[in-house]
Amino acid sequence: MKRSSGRGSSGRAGPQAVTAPVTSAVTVRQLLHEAGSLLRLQLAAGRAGLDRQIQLSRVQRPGLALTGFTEYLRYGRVQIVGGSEVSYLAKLPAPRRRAILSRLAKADITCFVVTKALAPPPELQAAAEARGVPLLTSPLQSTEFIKQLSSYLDQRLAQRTLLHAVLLDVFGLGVLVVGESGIGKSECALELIDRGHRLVADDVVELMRTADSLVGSSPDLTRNHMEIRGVGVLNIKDLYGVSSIGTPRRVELVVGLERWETGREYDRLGLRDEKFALLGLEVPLIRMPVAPGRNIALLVEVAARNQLLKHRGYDAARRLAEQVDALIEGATPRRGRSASPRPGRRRA
Amino acid sequence: MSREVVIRNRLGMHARAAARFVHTASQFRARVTVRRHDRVMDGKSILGILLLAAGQGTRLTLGAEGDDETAAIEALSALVASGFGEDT
Repeated sequence: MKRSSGRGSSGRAGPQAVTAPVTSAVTVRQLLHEAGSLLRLQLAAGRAGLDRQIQLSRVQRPGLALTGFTEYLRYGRVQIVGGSEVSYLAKLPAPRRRAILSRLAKADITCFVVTKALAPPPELQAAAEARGVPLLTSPLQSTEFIKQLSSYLDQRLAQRTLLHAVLLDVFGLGVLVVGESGIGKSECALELIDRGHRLVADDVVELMRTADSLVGSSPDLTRNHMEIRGVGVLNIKDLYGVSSIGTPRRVELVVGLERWETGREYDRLGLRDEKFALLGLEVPLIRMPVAPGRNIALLVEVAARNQLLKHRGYDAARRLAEQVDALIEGATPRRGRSASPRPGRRRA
Repeated sequence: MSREVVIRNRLGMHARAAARFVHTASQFRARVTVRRHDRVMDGKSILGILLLAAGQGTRLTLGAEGDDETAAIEALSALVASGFGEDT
């Protein structure tokens, strides 16, 4: 399998078996089916074009296009025809209105939505029907409609990928455990569940990029399930109860399990700021060497605690480094030494 | 390396067949992947393989990467071709 750049800060703890992020699209048919009742949509014309695709979550208001300037209309965006558009059109003489609307419907357009329970101009209806461009109506006010539609589309069009990993909720922190097959991700997760933490997804995690975070969840089929070699497939919810299962969660820490290699240098201080990159976002990464005698679940739990502390602005490793710097500062005659120790600064 | 295979047995890649597949894949050091359309799963993960829901006639692309990749691909495509040792 190819390794695309920007997928994991290095190959070692890189995610395994990732699907390429798919640029998604929603057809008008899906919009009607999935959000039709939320947005109170009705199809008024253009049934033939229901398979046209919505590719962007930002809507467009044709405004200027109604004067004949259609260059900025973009396929893939929902065109909102609201109060101002409808009243502008009503003011035009009929032949002009007909000319403009038929030209508008000829532009490559995904669909129109007439909001505010306004009656769609008959010329628009006729042109949409003739060109096979879906024309929908909704009783919602334009602002409310746009807000609801954008939030639905943001969810629906978000970049997604699958990762071979385990996602847990540890003290409310979304912790993603990655590592090669057979290294003990699931065993580690089981012990964390036994300690009272929650399973979000085992083995296959669906990750979705929202504006500034990665949200992980479980595919429907495998939700609540976990596979442990030698025992088989388990239903964690049945075994441990509903409190052992977590809901989709933002990934805030990635723990990469790695085989212990003698001679390799592991982070002893915790001053390294490693990141795990996925779908264009970065999440703090900890590389955790696995070796006999190391209780990985306990270590993951403690890493989560430490990450929570860091979220509150307390970084133990930095604090200690600063204190050492200050001590050295005090013991050394001041000669060209900066007065304020920087966090994590090494001795010159 | 990779190779395309077609699921031949009537029941498809059902739970036991998936277990057999994962068991075989795990005997190799190579990293094994199974792709169906745009979904790529780890070939050593039983839940991942089950999620592919590969019925009879499904085309899958097997991938392997590692020193014993050729042997892994051979063994796995033979397993799929044999219909997981079941009557087709």
